[in-house]
Amino acid sequence: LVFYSGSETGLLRVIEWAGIALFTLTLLLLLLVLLMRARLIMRERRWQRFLSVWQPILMGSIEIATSNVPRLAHRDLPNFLLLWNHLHESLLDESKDHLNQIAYALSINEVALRMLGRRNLRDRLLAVITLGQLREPAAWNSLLTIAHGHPPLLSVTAARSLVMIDPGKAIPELLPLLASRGDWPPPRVADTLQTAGADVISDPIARAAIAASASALDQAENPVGEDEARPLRNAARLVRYLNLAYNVSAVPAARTIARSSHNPEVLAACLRLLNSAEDLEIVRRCLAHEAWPVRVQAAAAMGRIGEDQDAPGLIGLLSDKQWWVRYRAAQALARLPSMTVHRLKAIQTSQANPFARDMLAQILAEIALQ
Amino acid sequence: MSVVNFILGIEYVFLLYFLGLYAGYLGLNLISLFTLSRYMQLHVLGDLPQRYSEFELPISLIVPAYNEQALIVSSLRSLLQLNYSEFELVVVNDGSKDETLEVLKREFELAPFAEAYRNRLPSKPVRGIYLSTTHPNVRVIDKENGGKADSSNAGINAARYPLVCVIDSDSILQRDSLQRAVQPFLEDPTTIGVGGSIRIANGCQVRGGFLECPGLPQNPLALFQVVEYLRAFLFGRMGWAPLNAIQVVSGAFGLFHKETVVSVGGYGTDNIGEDMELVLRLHRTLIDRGVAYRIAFVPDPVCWTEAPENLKVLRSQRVRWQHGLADSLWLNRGLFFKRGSGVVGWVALPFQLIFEWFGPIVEVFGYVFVIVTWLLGLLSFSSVLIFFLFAVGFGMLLSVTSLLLEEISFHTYPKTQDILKLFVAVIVENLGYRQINSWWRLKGVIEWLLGRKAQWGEMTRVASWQAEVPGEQMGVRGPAK
Repeated sequence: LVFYSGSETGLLRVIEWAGIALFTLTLLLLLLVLLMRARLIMRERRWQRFLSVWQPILMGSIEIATSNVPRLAHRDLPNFLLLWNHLHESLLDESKDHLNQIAYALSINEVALRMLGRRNLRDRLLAVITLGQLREPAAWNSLLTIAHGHPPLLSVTAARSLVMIDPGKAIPELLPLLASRGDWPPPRVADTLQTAGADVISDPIARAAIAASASALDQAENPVGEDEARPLRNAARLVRYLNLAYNVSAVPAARTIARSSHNPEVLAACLRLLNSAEDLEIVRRCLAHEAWPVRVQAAAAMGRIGEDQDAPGLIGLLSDKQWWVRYRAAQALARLPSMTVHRLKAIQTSQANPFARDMLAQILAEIALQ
Repeated sequence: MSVVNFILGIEYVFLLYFLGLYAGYLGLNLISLFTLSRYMQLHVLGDLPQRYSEFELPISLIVPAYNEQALIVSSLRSLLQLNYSEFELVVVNDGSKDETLEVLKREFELAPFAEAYRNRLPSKPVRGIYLSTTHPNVRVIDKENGGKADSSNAGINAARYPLVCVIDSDSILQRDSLQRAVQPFLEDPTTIGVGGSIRIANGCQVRGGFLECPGLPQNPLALFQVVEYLRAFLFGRMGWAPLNAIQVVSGAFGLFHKETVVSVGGYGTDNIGEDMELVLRLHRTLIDRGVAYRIAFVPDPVCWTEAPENLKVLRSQRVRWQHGLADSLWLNRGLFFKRGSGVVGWVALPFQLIFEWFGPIVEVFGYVFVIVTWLLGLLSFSSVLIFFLFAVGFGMLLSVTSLLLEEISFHTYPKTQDILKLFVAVIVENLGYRQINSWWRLKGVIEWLLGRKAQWGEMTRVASWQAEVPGEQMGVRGPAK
């Protein structure tokens, strides 16, 4: 028998060369990894050297303002921005001014403005954050453009920076975005609103929430356009952020919206805010709502404002299909003005539904542990 | 057909198989490279101090525990120190035969609690529920032994928050694990699950339940697994993520939208690869329902776990994994080439079937065939060399590419000698370890085809990296099935 060998077959020769190329490539990649590690070590050393010079200066400026700082090497700029922003995010207002003084002495505002135009997302993010911390008015238009664009994390960060620069001017500009940008992470939006402060946001957000809710109602009655649910989603989003506003603005707005809205998401968000006896009528109506998130919030609201006469409604919810509704109803029942442990036990015994009995047993156990 | 042509044909099949396998993984690495580059650019936001608000999503951490008396307290104490705004710990004592429950009662001052427990997902009967009087966010569910999936279901039943994070009781989490893993849920409301990058804890320094300094293990088996985890579990999964085609969210750390998991029936208790099976079932069911969804992956090292350091335990693990893969693919066979299933049904699952499930058969048969035909004088030595050059060379290239990606992104291992050590591991891993792995996986395939039940077996946790308890035997792991 005569069989083939690698050297006799053209294809196998190609494969042989491909194999050699594979090993060479593997070695080259290793070399690349080692070069990158060498670069990393150099960067780390540079960072340490940078820290030894700039950390004392920046930390010192927290106590005593200074503009007398050494020259910042160009390649230390990213390190400076990282450290400076890190300190900024950890500090209270007065010391922030001192940090800004140093940054202006180094013309960081101009550098950051130039960085806004870069393609690298990290550079742009750093620039956006920096310009916000510096409250740089020259960055307003650029930041506003970024806030309207993508990607979401960059645009929401730009929104926060706008708020830092001028909260009074920024909030009216941003409210439509806060309502419509479903891709903005709610914690970051909340952070933006908290940065603006309840003084600034309370009235505008209350007005915007009422307007958005009315627009959603209009849209529901006269559907126009492709995405009929969008106004509702916008309204729900704004109502959710109402609890960052002062109660004096938020509660009346929630009350107004709750009276007219039938959307579960909007209603549930409103119910979270209702806190006085005059809201009882709305809350009672919502106890029987078909959507369980509304029933949960209605029961929770009863825990805040419920009266003894609401006991039957709450007892009815103890047999609800949803665990959370039963739980909040049982909690609310326990918090009614003249409710006692003895009465709760009596209600528990009288329940035919085992889920209702179990839930009251849990509430009684929680009370005992308290 | 002549014998020569037959042998040539077979050899080409092997070469094509290896080419397909490595091209697939290299493709995934390339996708990872692009995804990582963008992810790392956004990382700067996560590195700055964060302010918490009520708009964070609260998380229920589910911790199934079976015979974990030695480690459970330190594990829970470290979990309680996680940096996150609102979370609860639901510890599920899965009918432990040791003192796990007693230790928990003592250390967390547990009181029996008449919880209105919901039986939404199937699980073995619950014997009792306890609430910690010192930590209001710690509850313990004591139930009959039913395995990890069964315990996870019981934990989900008791969970109160919208997101559930199922972890192993001996998983070591980073302080910011939850903060990082929750981001995809915040950025995209259609997210229903997030897998975290799992790393090997052997060789690392751990103090107070937290990783103090990453390091590489001395044990060669554990070292090979470091490379393997990088290649398959980190950059493999990261490559599938942007295509919404992740097939596994590791049981060591996975964050899910609770109601979605409940709506698909929770973890399957009658198969051994419950983590993969759940993810495939989520894909299948949500595609059926026409719901927009996303399963994401967080490449940051969020969780560290102990790898087996001896052949017996490793073999048992790999046989079990192969069973799990087969079970998961079989139970979700309806997802293959399903209309509207996108990359997961048309690419990812066929890839899994051909290269992961069927792969060991081709690999082992390939090695045996080439050696036997050479010994019989039917194949020239140069052909044998070329075959191994391909089979091994591509494997090395792939692993080095993963090493490169790791260096571009997280450069987890701080010492330069770690890189060299990993490089040696990349070479050596392909010369024996991979082949023996293929053999074990083939065993798993055969056992599954014969209808034999896979066993969880017993894994002795050494936890030599745990500073408080050096070298102590940490009891057994793995609930009975």
